[in-house]
Formats: sequence, C-alpha cells, structure tokens
Amino acid sequence: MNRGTGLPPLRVEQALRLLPDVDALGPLRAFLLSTSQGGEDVAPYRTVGKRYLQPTDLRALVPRATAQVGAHLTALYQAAVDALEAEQRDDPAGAVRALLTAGELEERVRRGTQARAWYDHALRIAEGLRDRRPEVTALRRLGHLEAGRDAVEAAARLYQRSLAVAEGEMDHEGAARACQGLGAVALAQGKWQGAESWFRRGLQSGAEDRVLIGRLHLGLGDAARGRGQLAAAADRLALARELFEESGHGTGIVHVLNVSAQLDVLRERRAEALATFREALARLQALGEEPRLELAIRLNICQLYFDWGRLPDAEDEIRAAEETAIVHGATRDLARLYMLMGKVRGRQRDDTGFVFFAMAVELCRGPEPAPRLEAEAYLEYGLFRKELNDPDEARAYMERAHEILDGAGNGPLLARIDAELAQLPGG
Amino acid sequence: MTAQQPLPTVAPDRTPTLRVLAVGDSSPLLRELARHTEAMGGVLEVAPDSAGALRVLARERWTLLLVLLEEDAEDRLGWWVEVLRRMSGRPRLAALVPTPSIGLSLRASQLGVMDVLAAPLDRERFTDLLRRVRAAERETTFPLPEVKPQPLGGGRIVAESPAMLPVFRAIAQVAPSPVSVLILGDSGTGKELVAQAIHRQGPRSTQPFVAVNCAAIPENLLESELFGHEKGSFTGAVARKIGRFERATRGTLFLDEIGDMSLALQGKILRAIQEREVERVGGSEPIPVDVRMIAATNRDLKRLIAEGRFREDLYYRLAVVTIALPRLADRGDDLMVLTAHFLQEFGKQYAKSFTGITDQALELLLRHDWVGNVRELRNVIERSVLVADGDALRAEYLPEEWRTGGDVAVEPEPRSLATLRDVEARHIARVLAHTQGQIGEAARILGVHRNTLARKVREYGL
Repeated sequence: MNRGTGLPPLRVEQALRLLPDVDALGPLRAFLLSTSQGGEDVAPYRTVGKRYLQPTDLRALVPRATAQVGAHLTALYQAAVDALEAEQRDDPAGAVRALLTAGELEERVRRGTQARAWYDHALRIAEGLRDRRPEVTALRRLGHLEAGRDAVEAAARLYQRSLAVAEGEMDHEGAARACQGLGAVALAQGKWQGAESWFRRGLQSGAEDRVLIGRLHLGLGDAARGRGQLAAAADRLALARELFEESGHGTGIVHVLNVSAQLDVLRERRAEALATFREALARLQALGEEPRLELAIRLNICQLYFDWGRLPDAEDEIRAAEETAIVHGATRDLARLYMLMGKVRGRQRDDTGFVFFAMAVELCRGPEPAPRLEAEAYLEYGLFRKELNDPDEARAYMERAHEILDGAGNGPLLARIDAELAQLPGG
Repeated sequence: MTAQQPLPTVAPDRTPTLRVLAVGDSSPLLRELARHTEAMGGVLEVAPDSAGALRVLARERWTLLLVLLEEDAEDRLGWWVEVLRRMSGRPRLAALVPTPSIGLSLRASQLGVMDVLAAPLDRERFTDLLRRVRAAERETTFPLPEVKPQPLGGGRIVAESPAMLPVFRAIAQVAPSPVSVLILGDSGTGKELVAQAIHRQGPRSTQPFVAVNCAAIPENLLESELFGHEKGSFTGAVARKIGRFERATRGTLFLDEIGDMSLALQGKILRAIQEREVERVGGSEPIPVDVRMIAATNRDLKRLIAEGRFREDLYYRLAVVTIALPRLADRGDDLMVLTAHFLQEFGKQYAKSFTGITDQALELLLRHDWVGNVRELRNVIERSVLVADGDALRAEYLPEEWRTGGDVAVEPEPRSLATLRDVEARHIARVLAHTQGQIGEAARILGVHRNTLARKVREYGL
C-alpha cells in the first residue's frame, strides 16, 4: 500500500500492458522493471511480471531517468560531432572510430538495433578507405554485437570477413581478435572442435598482446573442457591465468576461475567448484560492475546446485541472480534463470512451475528477439511437461523448438531436440 | 512468535571444558595459543605431526582441532576434513595459515571448517573462535517429538494445537457435501492442504483434484489455463490445451489466491460456475463441466468488494462456507511438531536421520517471527537439513543471521565492541533475510534508495 496515495501497488505485467511499445518509452520500461520489487504473495512462482511497482515512486525517478537518457544522447551526439570533425580534418579512419564509439555506447545500454545501425554506417565508410584496419574493427564489432544478440551464424560470417581482411592487411592483432570471436561463437554453439581450431589459429597469427593471447588460451581451455579433455584444459587455463596475472587483467582471472570451476564440476568436485565460483564472484566484486560476467558465474552456480540436488540453494541463488539481471536489464540472462527455476519446480513435480517457462519464452520475444534461446526455452518447457507425464504437450513444445531452430540454425541444439523428440512415446 | 511452549530445562552449570589439540611444530606460536586458551579456561595440547595427532584423537575427546598449515594448505585441510568425518565424537576443525587466500577461506567454509586464521595470530579472532566452539558445545540435545498426522486432516496435516481444532471440525463438516468453500489464511498457512483434505474426505475423492494458483500465472495466460485453448488461438498456443476446469471434471477445482484475478476473468469464472460449462480460448463449442469449487485467498475479499475490485456475486458463490486458518505463530506447540515432521521428511529426501534438536536451535526457532508461516518453516528446515551433519538439529545449521542478527544471544560472553560498519552490514543482512533477498523491499524498510543498498550489499559481500 502506498503511504501517500493509499492505493495498492501495480503489478509489472499490468504496468507494461499500459505502455505502448514505442522507442521513446524504452528507457522508462527499463526503469520500471529495474525499480520493481518482489512481493511475498506469490514468492514460489514469482516472475518479473508479478513484481510490484508504485507509480508515485516511478514518478519520483523520472528526473533521474531523463537525466540518464540525456547523458546518453549527449555522448551519442558528441561521437557524431567527433565523426564530422574527423571528416573535416580529412581523417576518415577517425570518423569511423567515432561512429564505432557511438555504436558501443548504444550496445552498452542494450540497444542492439541502434548499435547495429551505427556499426553498419561505420562499416560502409570504412569499406571505402585505403587503410582497411578500420574495416577489420567495424566487422569485428558487428560480429560481437550479433553474437550477443544470439545471431551466431551472422556473427560467424562477420568475424570471418574481419579475419580475411585482417590477414590480407597483415594485421596480426586484428586477425587474432577475429579468431577469438569465431572461437567464442563456436563455443556458444557447443562446437568444441571448431572452437579449438579458431583459437589455435588465433595463437598462430603472430599477435603480441599478452591479454589477447591469454584470452585465446582461455578459449582453448574452455573448448578442451567441452571435449572432456580435463588435463589439457587445466594446462591452458594455467597459461591464461599466468598471462592475465602478469598483465594485471583482473577480469581475465575471473574468467579463468569461472572455467576452472566448471572443470571441477566435471571432476565431480562440487564443493571445490562452488568455492572457486565464489572466489570468482568475490574478485569480480573488487573489480566493480561487470553484470554480464557476474550473471554468467551465478548461472553456473545455480546449475551446479541444481545438478547437485540442492534445490533450496539453487532457488536462493536464482533469486539473487534474478535481482542482478532485473537491475541491469539483462533480459536473456533473466530468461535463462527462469528456465532453471522451471526445472527446479519440475524436479519438485510442481505443475505451476510452467509459469517460469512461459515467462522465459515471453522474454525471448522482446524488442531484441533471441530465437535460439527461445528454442531452448521451448525444449526445457517440453522436458518439464515430460517430467510431469504430459507427453502430448511435451511434444508440442519440442516441435515448436525444432521449428524455431530450423530458421535460426544451431546444429547441436537441434540434434538434442530431435533426440528428445525421438524419446517421447510415439516418437 | 509467542513463547507458549515450555522450554526444555537447562542444567545451570554445564560449561564444557575447552580442549584444543593443536597440530604443528611452531613452538612460539603454540605457546601463544596455549596462553590464550588457558585465559579462556581451556587447555591446549600439541601434536607435532598428523600421525601423532591421529593417535591422540583416537584416545581422547577434544573440542577443537587446530591445524597449522604452511604448504599445500588446501589439500591438507581437505585431508583433515576427510579424516574427521569418519571419527566418532569428532572435534571441530580450524586452521592457522600464514596467508590464507580468499579461495582457501571459501573452500574451508564449504568444507565445514569453523575458521581459517592468519598468522601472525590475531588474539581477538582466536578467542572469538574459542567462544564459538564453546557456544556450540554447550548445546543440549532433546529428542524430537513423535509426529502423528491428523486423521481428521486427511492424514497429511500435521497439527496438535487447539488452534487447529476448528479447522479440522470444518473439514469434517463440509467434506461430504458439494458446497463451495472459501479458505482464508495468510501465505504459507496450508490452504492447499486443507483443500486437499476436503477433497479426499468427500464423495469426489477418487476423481481429480486440480489446483490453480491464480496469482502466480501471468495474467495473459490465466484464462487459457482455466478454460483451455485451441491450437494457434494466440502466440504461444502451440498445441490444443485442456483447461483446468475440464481437467477437474467430476472432481475438485481449487482456485488459490482468487483475490488476484481481474474483474473480467472473475465474470468468466462466475459464468462457468453458474452455467456449468466453459469455452476454450479460440474455441466455439461450450464444454460441460461438473466441478466442486474450493477457493482460497490471503486477502480481505470484502474490502476488495467495497473497492469494486472483486465481484460480490462471485464471492457469495464461493464463500458458502468459510474456513479461517491460524498463523503458525498462533499454533503453539505445532512449531515443534512441524519441525520434527519436516526433519523426517527432508531427512528421508537427503538420506540423513534426525533424532533430536538442541536447546539453542529450539530457542532460535521459537524466537523467530514466522511471517511466512509453515511454508517458511519448511524452507528453513530443508536448508538446515542440507547443511546438517549429525543426528540433531543444531543452532549452527539455522540461518546465520538469526544467530548474529540479534534474534537470540547464543553466545553470552561479551564481545568486543563492533564497528559501525559491522553493525550496518549485520543489520542489512538481517533485513535482507526478512525480505528473502528482495533488495527493493529491504531498501524500503531501511529507508534508503535501492541503488545505495545494492552498493552496500556488494561492498559487504552479502
């Protein structure tokens, strides 16, 4: 109840229903979500839509929201003016750099479509230059953006173009970075061998940046983990850690700890894995805000607890991560967390757990659609229904997952869906 | 929680002797440790190496094993944990390490090691460790009461408190008849269990019992959940779905948190009850349904009616008989009985066995404000079972903030004065525990902005 108005708070789902999906309201919608609070009434089934908000509180925050929007626009305009000035100085590479900066600013506030527009524009200008290194960078930025938006095939194509141009220009750093991007895309698809090849190629490119080399070793470690080559993975991670330590690259060390803990999980050393994840989080805390990495680690902890059968701990961890995801507007991570929460409820044979899958699917269809993740959500939804002895509904959801991936790609996930479908009665 | 339960009598003087076995060969440090232990009224003996320590451990009973570790601290600590795990009457374990890393401290805490101290020794930290060991040793174990589920509650409701008698009486009265029932009670008081009991003792007991939590389901999905939908009737309708009304036909439909429903949906439910038929979303054929309705809410429906947010006609359809459930705080001895019940339930689930509860654990349970009622108790006990080691529920297995946040003084010895920062961190932890980690709600209680609180949570590592 609001002390000032005496009116009960609104649910987020009620509030969002009232706001039209127009660009100008995007920041307000984000603010609305990040300032919402979780009530106790539906605690076991609470999703973001069931959180509460007080319009009066939101009104009080409007000046802060508009100040943030203003600051963002100012930075964008400055980048645009920087580009104009560079053009005036006959420095087209500088203009491309300024346009890329604007794209990065948009990416930072999770406006992928707008970031893409800036990068595309930068790329078009870069393609006309004699020096092709700005083109290498623009293509790489686009690849990074698309990978983050779940468009792995598009990301791979952009990184490959970046690699081809970099190699043609003898740009060793650019080539290594493109290989790193290609490896990361392969990792995201579970294509371990492919990932390994790209990271190796990156190492052979002749790049000298120690942090970059560390990242390539880290990628090789992760790929070896995926292939179950635990000793090789540990060796690569040790190398990566050494390089990050000598360069004072704290985030790199956190990444190493995150993968090392996953190695411990594979060795069934769960207590050790948990401690390593916690150490990673503690180090991250000291480094300042890195919400994406924090959420990646927290998701791993949630999964560990879930696989361990420690469901109350998994639930606590999911709720803690949910708060981080909501505050930072990390919609995809939120969808992943809800998928995991749904799995927890499935394990508890709690039918109402379906609400988490429904919400995950809805989140994947937002203004920045994530078809691969949506397919994963449908697959997990199907498995949930299967666990609750509802094979017909299970099949329907898995078939939907198949249908989505037919258009979006991802062989390993598609193969998994087909295998699950084949296991259903009548499959 | 009102302290209605008689607390177990505690012997007036049973301060245990603090017996510390230190393993290591650093003489000056060991002399210092022995001096501090004696100052606390305990004794410290030294075993120069692991083999010697194992012999002494097998021969005598010790309260604390303090191992001095230099190289391979992590592996050796793990080895000691394993060794002690197989030992009866085992002591608690702590370690003294020249420079403990964050990783080692975290691993130690995961392994159940009481503390990892840094050398050179911080006397205050060491005596604090001894105090904690002594407080844990001082706990007295009492046997758990026998748990007998009430036959009146359908064999699944655990209660012995007189406060539950009217509930059982009402269940017995309404179960055989087809009347609609409205169950009132706070969150976590067991409304669904009562609805199940009514169903199981009624003439429809062999037919389905279908429960829907109306508040949990996203508003845009609730209608299709209740009435079903045809394939393709909206985005996400990937297959034809049979609604809960249909699934409950000839059985009982339990609508939990009915007060959270939109007026439009309330109208559709009223129509379904009156006309005994439903129509799937995207469908055109009416489908006959025959269900017994039981509804529940934690909200004041009469007030919602006065505010125009709940239909009066639906209320009278649902509330032919109302049953009000007491809060856990008003159920007296049921706290202890339910604790024993959940210890058994989760003990079975996690392959552990519990026969007792310590006086200090019981006191913590009694002093806690059970806002979340039985559901909260169930969650607390499940978490305790996960971390418990042994056959008794001890204070140390209960939420840490209960022990440090001032709910109960488990440790009576005067502590050194805390810094403002410590006090702030503890208070934030306590409020967060109360709000179950909800930053926004905690920020509201603390009267600070959520971003300020989020920053402090990160700063204090909460």
